[in-house]
Amino acid sequence: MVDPDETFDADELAAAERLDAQIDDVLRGRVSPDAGPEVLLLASAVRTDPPSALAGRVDAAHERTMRRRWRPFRYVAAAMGYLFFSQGFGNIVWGNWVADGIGEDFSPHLTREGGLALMAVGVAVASGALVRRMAPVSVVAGVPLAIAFGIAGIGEIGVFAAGAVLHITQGLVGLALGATYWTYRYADDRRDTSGGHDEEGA
Amino acid sequence: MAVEVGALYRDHAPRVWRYVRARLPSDADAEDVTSEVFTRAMGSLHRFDLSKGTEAAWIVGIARHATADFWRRRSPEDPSADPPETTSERWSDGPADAAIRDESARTVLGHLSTLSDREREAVALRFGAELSSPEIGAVMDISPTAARMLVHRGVGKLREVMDRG
Repeated sequence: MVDPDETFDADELAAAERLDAQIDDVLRGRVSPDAGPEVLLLASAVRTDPPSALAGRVDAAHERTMRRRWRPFRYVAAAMGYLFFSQGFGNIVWGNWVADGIGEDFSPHLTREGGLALMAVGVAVASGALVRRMAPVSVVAGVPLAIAFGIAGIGEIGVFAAGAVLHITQGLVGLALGATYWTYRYADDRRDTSGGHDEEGA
Repeated sequence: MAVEVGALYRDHAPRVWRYVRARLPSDADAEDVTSEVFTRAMGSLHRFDLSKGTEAAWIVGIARHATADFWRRRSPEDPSADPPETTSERWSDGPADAAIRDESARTVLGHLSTLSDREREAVALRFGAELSSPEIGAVMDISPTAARMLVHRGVGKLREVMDRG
């Protein structure tokens, strides 16, 4: 056993450095006439190629992990997409009722175009629930708008109950969308890092 | 294969596989643990900080932990108890050469059990992961000189055992 604080014999130290150089040579494929048979045998015995099937296995394991982590995001993205889409559809169909509720003049043209835009945003947000690589699109399209609606919804409390409930729900689901995306992309999955080691410090 | 995991695998699979294989008794166990290493690595890739060390040292650190976890799960078995098993398919030459090399490899890997755990670790990191002495020192939290000495003493013990055999 080598003690980190141990002082080493100069001859042994020199021999260790020579061996280190020989190992370097052997590992780089250079001929090292001084290298002993044990060095050559070790290099040969240990330096085998990974089995060809291992790459597929690693890929499958990674894919399973990412799918598992994506699952909560899918549900939230689907809910968020539904909320935006249904709001847009509702504005087109019941725009007059919404305008009455918040005490504003009804503008059919603006309501129809705004409704279509909201339906498009809903589709964009829901796309992340169907295709994993669309998840960033869901976040960019959905989170800022949902939070803005959520803040606006606070102002509708006591004015238009349906609008307040819808917008505050959108704000909360928007926060959940951001949180589940972060978990999907960045949070450690304890099932993947069992043992709780600080692997960064390695 | 996904781009990130594909690149990570392409760059580090041989070193991870060789290190893990040198520390575990069979190809099957080494495959399990190597697969786990890359899954763990992908889970913490965003936290990798180049200023703290090389990517090679980082992923070998993960391999060390995964290997330790393997033995913890297998506890109380001795890490060196099982004779290493090798397979001819890993060699690209003919069956006769492969058989001879398999036998030599099995013998050498079997002799690793005569080393202390830290010597075996240092030898696996040097020959399997192909880390330099300073990198081994960083991974094992010892000085480069101490790492070099561990390898030297480990190889010396192997030489003695092989000479006796």
